[in-house]
Amino acid sequence: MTEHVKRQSFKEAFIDAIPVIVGYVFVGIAFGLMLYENGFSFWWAILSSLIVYAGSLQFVLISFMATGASLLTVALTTLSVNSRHLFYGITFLDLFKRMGKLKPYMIFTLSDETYSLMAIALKKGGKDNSYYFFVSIINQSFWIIGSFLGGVMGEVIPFNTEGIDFAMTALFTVIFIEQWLSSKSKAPGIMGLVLGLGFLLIMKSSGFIMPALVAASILLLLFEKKEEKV
Amino acid sequence: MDNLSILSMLIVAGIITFLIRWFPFAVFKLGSDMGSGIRTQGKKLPFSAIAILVIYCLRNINPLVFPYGLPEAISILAVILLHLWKRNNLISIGSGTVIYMILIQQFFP
Repeated sequence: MTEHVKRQSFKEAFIDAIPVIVGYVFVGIAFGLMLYENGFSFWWAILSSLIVYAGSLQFVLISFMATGASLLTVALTTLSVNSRHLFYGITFLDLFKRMGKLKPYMIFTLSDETYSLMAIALKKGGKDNSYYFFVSIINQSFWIIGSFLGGVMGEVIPFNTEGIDFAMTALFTVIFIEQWLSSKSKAPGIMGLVLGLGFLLIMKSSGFIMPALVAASILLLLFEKKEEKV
Repeated sequence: MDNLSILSMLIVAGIITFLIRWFPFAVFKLGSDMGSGIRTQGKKLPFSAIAILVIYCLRNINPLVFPYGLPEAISILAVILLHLWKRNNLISIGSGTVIYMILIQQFFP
């Protein structure tokens, strides 16, 4: 009986995850190739996708890995890039509790895409707990497979990959458009562009990210206070 | 960079990512409420952060020297238009990247 339920759950999870699988494999390949371009073998691609498992952050980490950065910079960048994940868990407080031993893994793998798939399923209802676990592990597996393929392609197929790193720019542009379309106030986005450009022009180095983020964070808090008073 | 330093970077990034995702489970177990400041940051800071990251990706463009950032401008415009049209991450990112690669390899070498 349970075996049958699990097999059924796996099937459903796989079918629901297909759009994410395709996306993960493709972006994962770009990620692996980019690491290769920066002198890292596919082992590093696998390791990063296994340990970190946060797409956009992993792209940012490549330049840190190649040129060096303090662990504090890594920590602060992780906090700011992934702060959007702070509240994803709220949706699954009860579900993950019911899943017992699997809870840590479910939290660890709560990426944007996994969150979306599971939130949709939870809203519809009627899924076995194993369904959610399968969605999580299928997504991460294909992200790792994509990263591995990219790293290997760099080593095996000698084609001109110059410009492949634009995948990261395109990824962030797409996330920016999605944020733009779904946010009532466009101010945080415009502020980010202005502060980013401003600090880049003043500092003329890639170290502009942290001060720009700190400034954005302070301004957001100040605006919040003002709104509360009014 | 030696392997150990790079590995520690990945471990730090991994642990902090986990802690961020674990945050609601820790907070709600204690039964306390979140400050509105943190709530706002969680909602709005990502929008600013992503904007800053877009700038970060484009940091090496020099608008005064050939090709004046034209490949980036054209490719980003393509990504925006494709995404507004199809709303499909894969199509937007894939086509944008291929367009950029062709542009810098063939037209603006």
